[in-house]
Amino acid sequence: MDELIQDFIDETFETLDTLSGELVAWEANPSDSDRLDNIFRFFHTVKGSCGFLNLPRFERLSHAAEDALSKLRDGSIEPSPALVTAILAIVDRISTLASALNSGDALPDGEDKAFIARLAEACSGTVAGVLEKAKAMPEAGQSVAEAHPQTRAIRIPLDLLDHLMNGVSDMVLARNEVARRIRDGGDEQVMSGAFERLSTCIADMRDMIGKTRMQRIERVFSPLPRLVRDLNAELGKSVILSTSGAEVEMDREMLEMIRDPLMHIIRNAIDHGIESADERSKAGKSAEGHLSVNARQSGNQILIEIADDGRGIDVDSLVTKAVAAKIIRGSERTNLDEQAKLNLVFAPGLSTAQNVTSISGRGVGMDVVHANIKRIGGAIDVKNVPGKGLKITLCVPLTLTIISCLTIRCGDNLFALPRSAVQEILQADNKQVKIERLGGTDIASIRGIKVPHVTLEQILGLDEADDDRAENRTVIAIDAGPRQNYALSVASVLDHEELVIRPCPPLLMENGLYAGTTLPDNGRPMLLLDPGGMAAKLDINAQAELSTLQDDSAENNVNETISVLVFKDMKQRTRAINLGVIERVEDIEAERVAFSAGQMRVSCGDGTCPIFGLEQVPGSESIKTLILSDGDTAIYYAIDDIIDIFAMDRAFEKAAEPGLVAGVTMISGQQAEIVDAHWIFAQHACGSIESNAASRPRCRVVGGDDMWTRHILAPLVEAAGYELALGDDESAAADIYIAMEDCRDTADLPANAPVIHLVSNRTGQGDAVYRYDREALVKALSNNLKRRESA
Amino acid sequence: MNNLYLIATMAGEDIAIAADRVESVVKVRDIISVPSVKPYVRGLFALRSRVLTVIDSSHFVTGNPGKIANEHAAIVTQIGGHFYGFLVDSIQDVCSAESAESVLPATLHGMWREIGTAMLSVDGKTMLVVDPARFIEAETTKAA
Repeated sequence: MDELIQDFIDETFETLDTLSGELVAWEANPSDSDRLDNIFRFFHTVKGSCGFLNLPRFERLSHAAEDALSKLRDGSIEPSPALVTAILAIVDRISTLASALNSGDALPDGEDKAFIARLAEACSGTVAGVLEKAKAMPEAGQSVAEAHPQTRAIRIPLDLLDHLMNGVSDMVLARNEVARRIRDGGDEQVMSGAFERLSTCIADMRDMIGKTRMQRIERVFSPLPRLVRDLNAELGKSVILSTSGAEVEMDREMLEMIRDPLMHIIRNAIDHGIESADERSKAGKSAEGHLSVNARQSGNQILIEIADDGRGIDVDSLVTKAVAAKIIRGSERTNLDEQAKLNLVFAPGLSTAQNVTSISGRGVGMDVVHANIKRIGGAIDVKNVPGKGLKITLCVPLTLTIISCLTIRCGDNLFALPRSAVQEILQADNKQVKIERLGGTDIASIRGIKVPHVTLEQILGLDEADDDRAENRTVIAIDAGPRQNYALSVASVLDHEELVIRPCPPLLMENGLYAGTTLPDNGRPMLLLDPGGMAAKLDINAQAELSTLQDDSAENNVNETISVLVFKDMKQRTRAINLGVIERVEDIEAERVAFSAGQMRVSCGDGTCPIFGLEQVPGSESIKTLILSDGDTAIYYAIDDIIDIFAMDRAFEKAAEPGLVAGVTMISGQQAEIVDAHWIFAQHACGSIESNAASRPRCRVVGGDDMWTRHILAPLVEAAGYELALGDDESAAADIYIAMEDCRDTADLPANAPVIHLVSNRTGQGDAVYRYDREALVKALSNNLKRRESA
Repeated sequence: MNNLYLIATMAGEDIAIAADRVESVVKVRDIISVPSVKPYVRGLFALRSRVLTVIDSSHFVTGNPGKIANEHAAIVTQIGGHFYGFLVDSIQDVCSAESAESVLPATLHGMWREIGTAMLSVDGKTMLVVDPARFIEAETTKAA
């Protein structure tokens, strides 16, 4: 019986959210009888289940709603806003009762009769009384949403479950095979094959389990129509909501995390963004405001856009408020660019509202929205068109559970740090980093930007081990959110891996430093550090002052410089290359490199990429490479070591001749050659001939389809830029013909068609070409090609 | 029907834990310490693919860190969706209680009062019934 009730509760919750949305949609278009049928069916189902489960209160409520709806269906009463409000109140009541039933609390007191009476009144049309009562119970939806318990049950599509079951059987079979091979004392080759299959099975299973965690974003979208309707009623505005992309799927946990930020942004948009009808018509806009919420997937991220056509943000008044709230100094306001000013919206303690209303005063500011999104590794982008509207884009990762992390060492402990918060990793002995002590606080200057500096040991309250000398440590520049930049010093950075993160028990969460636990391959549990939580341990206000203070001076010289990576090449020459063309830095195994087809190549997957800066395969096991990318092709550049990133003047002394080295610049008192990335790509990127196969001229070989033409002549012809046609398909016309010696029927060939005659002895007759006279043959082919092009 | 109890020694005293609260009993080794948390939180321990938070029960009770043997006995329970391992001095037995749980006649000493819920008689001895969830809840209520 308990199970049945649990099922009932889960099902009810799931449908309730959707139902509110349906009701509101139906209100907008009362002629939509399908919707009405859906709504009716829900109440009918609830009523049926309640009778069976002996829940009389649910039964009475749903019966009343069903009654009213059935009257609406047969047209005996007309829909009215009051009626919809009364039905929504019943929906809320059912939700409250279900919550109580679920948590095992006593069912809330209070007379359900009041709701039923309200509905009856609404049906009979005594509207005035209803509205009064509606006002007497404000915020019904709100209180229910808060009491909404976390139901842990989920529904999974049956076919996914079947796939999972199949996956498990496959895995068992693969396991059995491995077991058999082990028993047979199998040789390594066979073993590794069996193991490979097992690994594939496990990877598949992991994907599938990942899918069971995915849920359509609809779940968050479906309560929105109701929210907008309530806000419209409360604020006396008229806003039309449109949503799209409800079918986009994302991780369940993630959905929960974005729910509140999304609601808040929508409240803000309706309360502050969209103007009243009067103001709108004065500004020449339609009386109704428009709010659109769109979700779409882009790579492994989900983008959620919330766009309104309201007044936008008044940036000047925002800056004035920020100055008044001492978030920035008055002298700074001229230095901020438009986006930086706009980003002040996310600064703590700042409200753009002219006056605080009940909607905006709910305790969640944009700073909290920003912090929440940042916590799950996402980002927020704001596009403001003053007077025209505001578009906020939430960009969140697809799943919470697998995060790419750096593993770092602190004393004997290892920790994981989310990559999304890491800006840069530097060695402490690097000249670009300077750590100074100011009034008992360490401040790091990284390339002129000053941020608070803290060691991980200090944050965690550990003793700094003596053997970790300061210059061997690593400094990580962390950006945990707006005004949450700091430099974290750790004993060392070990690795970069994708880790499966599990939630942290409350006992470990309470200090705010940890965000989860993970179990890496070595089987030793590790904690995931929370960069935001660590920032909270530092004095954020002081740091905001400092970082902006520094922004001024940094900005002045940033404009005329470009960031370059300075490195030593294989011949120990100091060189610099524009940071923008570097896709990543990778250590590759030396065995992947070989000299083939005229240049050094690295095998990558099924193909190869050119590697540059290497004359022979070195003796060492691995080669440090820069991977350069022009967007399409990648070229590896073998180097000896990376020195650092520097800001270089745009103007530098040019080399005498164009070539690999474009010029020379001075970097910390030393000459560094500047590498011309364009030249590298021009030299090494193999132009793709195949891509335009269709447009290539055809060359037909007449009178010979033997091994020689197929395997020896064909590559030559193709290399000359022709498509080769062989054999009997006489009908196909061609741009050039090659006639073999034993072929006499050249008369069949079209008149005036260029023909090259091949002979097998060197003493060629007339214009015939000896078949191994490569030069003459290529010349004949390319001459024809040129003629064709000029024609 | 369900009056089985796991009898263990915790901080030198024999205590009883309702058997249905206990997931398993394991030997833990290689505890990964966790800095900057409550002192009685020993650290993390990987039990197959699960990560347990290890709690030193005698430290909780006495306020002094207990001695951790190389393969220390721990009681594994699940509380609020997370797994915990409670280090105990030793595990005695699983017994069925001779009496129902009865109300304690006096307020317990020190931290014992946070975790002890009732008493009961097993094998002719009166023992304290300990609810493992109280270790975790005791702290959250205090923090609030």
